[in-house]
Amino acid sequence: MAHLTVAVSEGTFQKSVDALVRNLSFEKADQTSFGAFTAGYDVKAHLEGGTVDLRADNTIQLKELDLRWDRLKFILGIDIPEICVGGGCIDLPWPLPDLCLPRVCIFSDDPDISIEPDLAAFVAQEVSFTGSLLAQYHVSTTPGESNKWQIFIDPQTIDVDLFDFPDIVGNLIEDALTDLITALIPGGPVRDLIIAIIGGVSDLIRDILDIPDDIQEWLSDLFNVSFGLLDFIGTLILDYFASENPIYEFDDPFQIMEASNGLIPVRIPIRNLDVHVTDVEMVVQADVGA
Amino acid sequence: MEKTLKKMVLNRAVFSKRPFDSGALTVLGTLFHRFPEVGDYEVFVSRDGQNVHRTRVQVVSDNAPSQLNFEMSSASNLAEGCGCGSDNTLTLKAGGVVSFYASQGVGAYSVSVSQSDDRNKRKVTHLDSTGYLPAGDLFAVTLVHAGTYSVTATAGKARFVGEIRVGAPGGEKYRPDRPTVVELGKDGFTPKSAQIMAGQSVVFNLTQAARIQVELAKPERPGGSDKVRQTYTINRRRPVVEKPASPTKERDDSGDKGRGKGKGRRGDR
Repeated sequence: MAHLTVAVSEGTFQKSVDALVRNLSFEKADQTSFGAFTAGYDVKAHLEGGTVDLRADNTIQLKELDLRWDRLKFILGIDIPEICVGGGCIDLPWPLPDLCLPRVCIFSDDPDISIEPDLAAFVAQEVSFTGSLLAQYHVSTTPGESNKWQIFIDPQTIDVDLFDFPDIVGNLIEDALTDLITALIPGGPVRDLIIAIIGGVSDLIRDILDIPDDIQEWLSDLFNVSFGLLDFIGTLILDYFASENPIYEFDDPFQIMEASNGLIPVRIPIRNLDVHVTDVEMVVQADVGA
Repeated sequence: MEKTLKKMVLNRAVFSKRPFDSGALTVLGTLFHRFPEVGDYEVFVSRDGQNVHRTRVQVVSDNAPSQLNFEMSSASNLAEGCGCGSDNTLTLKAGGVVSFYASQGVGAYSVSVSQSDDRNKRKVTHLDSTGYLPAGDLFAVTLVHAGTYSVTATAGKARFVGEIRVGAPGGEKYRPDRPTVVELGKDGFTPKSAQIMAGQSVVFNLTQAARIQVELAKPERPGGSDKVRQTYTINRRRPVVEKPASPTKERDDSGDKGRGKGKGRRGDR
């Protein structure tokens, strides 16, 4: 039988988790070239809310944690392909070689455009995970600092909602690109010719971005798959709870009486610390060592 | 939302409405000169009457490309202050062609090709593009303005006339890289009339020496020449005029004099 037993109610445990959650925020930015276009992100987020459920099978569930985006900038740069007239080859009768005409381009340089919409307002995601509590002994390397028993939440699986952008985001991006490309094109017959060459601004955008269907689905795929942002978020949360931030910690030796009347404080060594949960509380048990 | 637009410059020369002349090559006009014999040739490129570039074309029997493209607007090794030197040689397969074209600017270019005849100690001129292009050469024009172009070929005392109809591009199958070939022989152009879309090219294949000029004779009106103009007409409501109780003579007190009694029209385009 353990020498010491401490129990923490589910409500108190919830408050401890809330304090941990409040301190979790992250920023990340990256860009990737996809050939004809460059896509990237510049994001900042934090966690809010979440409910703890202590379960009888010695696991805990933290659910409905809100992933709040303080900044969710999507960076999209497009290289507009050369818009040229002329060109093409003609076959001439043997022995004359075939001839190819030079192309003359309408712009003196390849136009590039880029947009950086902040999509934070359009995305709502939740994070949930199930795990157990894990007691670990931390040996201090700092002089004067005690060793510690630390209790971590050790998530086994984590679920992060996929990015799911609404239609309005697709329209927003498409409209912004269309405006920019249209602004590149001079008016009059020049416009008619350029539009004919590129086959329409909307088609040009879809060709460059290789979008088969809806732009918002393409965007969601970028965030969910190509950017690897979900993996990053999942790993970050796992590491935050499982190894970087204990939910509770105790000094070893543990002080039970302060120094007084010229006597030194009374500290007892803690050994064999064990932690588990029932469906109503967290229970920590330990022995007082020699 | 942050937006970035890289500044760039429209190649305005592409959209100028100047006539094309094989004797004065401008943007969208291309001269293909054929080099049928092995040998060393000297090529001079002139801009607006001044020699700006000299190059040597070495024509060999094999192991060389059969077409070279020479962009004249960036060639300037004889231009004042260039100091670019003249040691540049192009190697071409016998029977091949060099295309001379300008991709930008408003300059008018000409090309001369000559060869030293050591035996007779004289220079043989194979091409002086300010005059007639020799048989076997080709002249191409890329037309970007819709309308009807007149084509004239001068060959000695003969003068041949043709026509190119350029339609406004549209439709899914439009591609600018689909040139149309027109032959120029002793009986004139074949076909006499060609039809292309704006941005496409017509290549004149010369089987006799000639100078070719192409000019926009009848531009197509924006919106298409065959379209019926559509107007939106509003009939103005005329004020109701009460007749005097005992008129001796009818008066018009509406104050509407001089405004006309016809239909008011708005939105005519």
